[in-house]
Amino acid sequence: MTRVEHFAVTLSALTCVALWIGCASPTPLVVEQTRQSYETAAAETDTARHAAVQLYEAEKVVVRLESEAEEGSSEAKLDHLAYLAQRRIELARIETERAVTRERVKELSKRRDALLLEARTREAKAARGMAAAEAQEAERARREAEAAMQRAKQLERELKDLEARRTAEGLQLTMRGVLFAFDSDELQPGARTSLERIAEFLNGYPNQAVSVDGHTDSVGDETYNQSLSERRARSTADYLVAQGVARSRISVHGHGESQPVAPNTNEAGRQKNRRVEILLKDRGAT
Amino acid sequence: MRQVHLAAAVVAGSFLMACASVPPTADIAQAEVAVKEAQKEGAAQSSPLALRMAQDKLRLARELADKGEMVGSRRNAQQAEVDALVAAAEARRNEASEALEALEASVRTLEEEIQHDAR
Repeated sequence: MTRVEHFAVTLSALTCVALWIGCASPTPLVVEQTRQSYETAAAETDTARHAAVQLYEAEKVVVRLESEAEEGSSEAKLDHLAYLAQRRIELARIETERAVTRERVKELSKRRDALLLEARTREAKAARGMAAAEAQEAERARREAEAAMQRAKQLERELKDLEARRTAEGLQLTMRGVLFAFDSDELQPGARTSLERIAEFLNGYPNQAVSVDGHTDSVGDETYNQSLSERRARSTADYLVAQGVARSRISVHGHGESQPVAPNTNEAGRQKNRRVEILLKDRGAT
Repeated sequence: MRQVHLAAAVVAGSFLMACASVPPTADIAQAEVAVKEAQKEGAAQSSPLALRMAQDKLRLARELADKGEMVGSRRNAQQAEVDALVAAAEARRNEASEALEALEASVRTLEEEIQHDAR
């Protein structure tokens, strides 16, 4: 071997060593980057939890990439494997996003169901509340009607004492007994209580006309009795007006001794004839 | 020395020939399956870029196999498969996201209604 040959062999050996060092160490950048991407993805809790399979597939490729780099495979082959690894890592990331989204969908579905239930409950409650208010209103109306009827019955019972009588013209109330002093048109105190009750009754029917008719017995002059009956009717009407009965509703008539309801031959009959009749006219009769 | 070199060259050459001469049928088939799956998941609308990459690489893999460039064909087929897998996964994820958005909107509406009623 010549010196020149020796030098050439040494040089080629050194070149080989240098090339070998260049290939094997340091690790190519693409390999380091891929390993780094994988480690970053694997360190995330969500990814580890939801994409274990995808991570495993990714790591298989990363390991293969690293061993190919150790063996000094071509740059094209390493780039190819790095691409496959990056796509597998991306798959793990996407799968994780999908799983997290689906978990959120599940939670939100529960929330929506709860809200739907709440909304329906509210509607039902509102409906019940309205029904309760209506029932209350109906009950109140019923009580009012009941009370009004009771009051009307009460009044009618009281009016029986006043000899209320239904006639063709309407309801006739006859006041008898000691209403007036002899030959007087002034109401006796005892008559006032009865008239107050009558006034209350009349006020219960504010739209119906009232006729007040005075009558006398046959004792005395007929003309005088006519005048007396009119004055007594007027006096009675005045008292009713004082009790709140509208004067426009009231018509006043005197009939003197012309309409006896009993014979004038004895005192009992004459007392029956000395009377004031109050007629609550039926609507059709006004 | 020269004989040893020759032997090594023959071994390496035959090995390379074996690798390079067999078409990557299995890889291409897998890529085809993955692309079809992605299309079924609606990737054409949801993830068009990844699907298009998968389709292009699959076509290239077939072309290279016809030309006898088996290494390039295999790599393109393998990349086409992962691209298609990504396209399908993105499509599924987007579907889930849309469901979530619809749900969020419905919950918001319900909450507003209930607050309105409460007043």
